[in-house]
Amino acid sequence: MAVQAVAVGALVPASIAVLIAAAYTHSTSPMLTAFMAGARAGGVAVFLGAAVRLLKPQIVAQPRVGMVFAMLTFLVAWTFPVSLFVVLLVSGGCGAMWLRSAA
Amino acid sequence: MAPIRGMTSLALYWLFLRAVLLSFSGFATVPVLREALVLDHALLTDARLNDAIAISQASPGPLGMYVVLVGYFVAGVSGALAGVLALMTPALLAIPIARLVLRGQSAAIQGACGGIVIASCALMMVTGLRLVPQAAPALPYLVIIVIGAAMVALTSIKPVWVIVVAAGIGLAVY
Repeated sequence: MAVQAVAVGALVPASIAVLIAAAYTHSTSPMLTAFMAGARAGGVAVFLGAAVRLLKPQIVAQPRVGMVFAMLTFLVAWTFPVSLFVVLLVSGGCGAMWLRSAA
Repeated sequence: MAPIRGMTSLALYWLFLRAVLLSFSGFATVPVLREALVLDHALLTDARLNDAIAISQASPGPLGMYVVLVGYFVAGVSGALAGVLALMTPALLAIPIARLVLRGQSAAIQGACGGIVIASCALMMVTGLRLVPQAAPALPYLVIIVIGAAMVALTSIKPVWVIVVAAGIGLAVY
């Protein structure tokens, strides 16, 4: 039952999204290209806004440590060509040590 | 499985799964997938990644649905299936993981989750800023990004409206 629910919940929206993507990639309409250029900018806006939205509760819970943690991660990822998997794993370890008081 | 320009669909599934398992939000996977598919393997462009995000936001389904579209853009239908399976796998593990995190009363586990969430947000911002030049070829698009990001961050507006309005502005600019 749970597997069916997950399958339907993932497959139906995925099929719709893939159909839209297929229509877009096979279209040569300049209007659709212009439409997607705007949508692309909107997508980046949503992405950046979602990062802030997701970060807010963590910063509220741990204002000082959380902010320092976020800024350090940002600087490291922006400056050095480090593996992001490593960054996430190290962050988990650091969080277990320094963010546990928020739990 | 058949190789997909240097990456098998099984490898694609494994990449998606690792990214999804290490994230606590649908979009938190974007930095990891961009690093692997755009920067390391050159299987995807920033433009296509932006397309996947935009289309997924204008479609029904969870935030992470863009992974399916990334799979589709990289490898067609088999890539999309790899994305769907990668999205489904953690959902099936969600209840035991939630029990471990919430009922285990382990401050260390909750702290680790908090650390990963904060790091994910920082990585999302880095990736988002790196996507801006591709998504904003002219000033109106930059204005869309700034205002849209502020609205999503500061209000409870549904992301789909930002996409729809931005697409409308794109048409108007055309």
